[in-house]
Amino acid sequence: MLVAPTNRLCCNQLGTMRLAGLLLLSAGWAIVLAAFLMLGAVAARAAFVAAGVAIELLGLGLVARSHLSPREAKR
Amino acid sequence: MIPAAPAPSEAATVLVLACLLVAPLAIAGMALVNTGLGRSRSASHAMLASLCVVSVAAVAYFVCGFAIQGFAGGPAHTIAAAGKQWNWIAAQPLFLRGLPLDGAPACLIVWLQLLSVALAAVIPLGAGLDRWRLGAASASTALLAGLVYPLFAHWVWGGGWLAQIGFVDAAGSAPVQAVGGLAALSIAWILGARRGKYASEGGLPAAIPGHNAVLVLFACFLVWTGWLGLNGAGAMLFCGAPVGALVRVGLNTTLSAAMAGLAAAAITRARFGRPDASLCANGWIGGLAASSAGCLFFDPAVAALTGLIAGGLVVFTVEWLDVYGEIDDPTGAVSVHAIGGIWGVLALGFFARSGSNVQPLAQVAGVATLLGVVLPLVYGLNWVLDRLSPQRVAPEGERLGLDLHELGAGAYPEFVIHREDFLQR
Repeated sequence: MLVAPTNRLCCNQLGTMRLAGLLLLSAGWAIVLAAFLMLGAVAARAAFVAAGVAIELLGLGLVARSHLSPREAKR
Repeated sequence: MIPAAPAPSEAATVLVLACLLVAPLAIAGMALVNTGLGRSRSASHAMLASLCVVSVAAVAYFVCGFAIQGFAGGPAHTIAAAGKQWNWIAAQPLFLRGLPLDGAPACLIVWLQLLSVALAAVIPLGAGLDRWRLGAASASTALLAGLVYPLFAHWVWGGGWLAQIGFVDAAGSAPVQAVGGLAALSIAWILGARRGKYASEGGLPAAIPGHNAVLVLFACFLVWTGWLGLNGAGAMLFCGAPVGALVRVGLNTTLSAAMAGLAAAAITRARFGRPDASLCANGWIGGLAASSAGCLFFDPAVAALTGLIAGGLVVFTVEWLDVYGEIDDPTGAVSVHAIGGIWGVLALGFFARSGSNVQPLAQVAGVATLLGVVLPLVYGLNWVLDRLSPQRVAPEGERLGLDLHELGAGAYPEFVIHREDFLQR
């Protein structure tokens, strides 16, 4: 479950969190791409692809969390 | 290099043309879904926005979209890596110059893609209902149809690197549905929720029901008809399916939608005591979105199972994204198209009898590309647009409704059927 940030996280911090999430999304994809370019064995490739997708999910969670409204300031 | 699909026979060409003639019904259906699930005070705006984004998408694709997408076997730019040439973008001329418009596969693909990109462009409108300015929606669509969609579609259907590693999608679960759904997610994030949606302290978000369930449910029939055309044309043009294979495509498309609709009805009946009309419509369309990738490759039972899972996924994720993700998506576009489409892509890898143990990995790589390239790209482009000119309508416009604010007249001038229940006082 996503947990809303508090007001202690100011806009800059939320922006940083968002940027970090987007970078993690791209980094995860780069790992998946590298697996297909550099690895021949199916097992190794599958492990790298799984790692890349896990990093992407982490990034997606970070971006999603950065868009939650602060708990103390619901509209 | 991925070779072009073999040229269709005369009978196949006639069938493709028939499919292309019914395919616009899918776009019309999606426009009706968007209108019916929005508020009555923005109904006319929702319909006009659909018409505008379809127009912008068609023009943007004509100007530069096809030049970026191209077709398998056509001219393209490549990058050398790991001892192999990887095709990453097409090298077609702008404005469709030099394209023979004589019924050859390339020009049939252009026609199909004009319709597909228009369908993808209508999807984000559902996430931005009641608060997305018409001009901003048109500008966002120009970027989607002129850059993001063609780039990913080239990788899948234009002989690009995803096709080279074995990724398969017969008719668009990834390039059309998932790309449109991820654009919808970006728009929902950037616009923020409608006023009053998450106003209650610590409580559940306010339910803001659509204003016309009949429009939404009728639209499901239109969308189904159009989808039969899109899936049929895609299977023949991108996978070289023979004429007889259209029977399998039609059966699988219908079974997937039917099982998804039934799953949604059963789940909402079990959870809420009665079936929910809008969630059943969402489930139906989610089943269609999931059917596109594997409609040519599945056995009917597998297509039905894919639809069943898609229907369940859609119902649960609509609620999850609304309550826990605080994503105000009035039509459930993210769940229906992004999650339904991604599930369709993965289902092809897991269930299709390709005989290859690499197929599931290739399908996962396609999903990773959607999340790692398409989502950041479409989010970043819309963020820049929002900085240049705010995409969200002014608070006064939201209170009045977009019909009066942007168009100067309501959709139902004889009736006042909306109330102010959902506005902050």
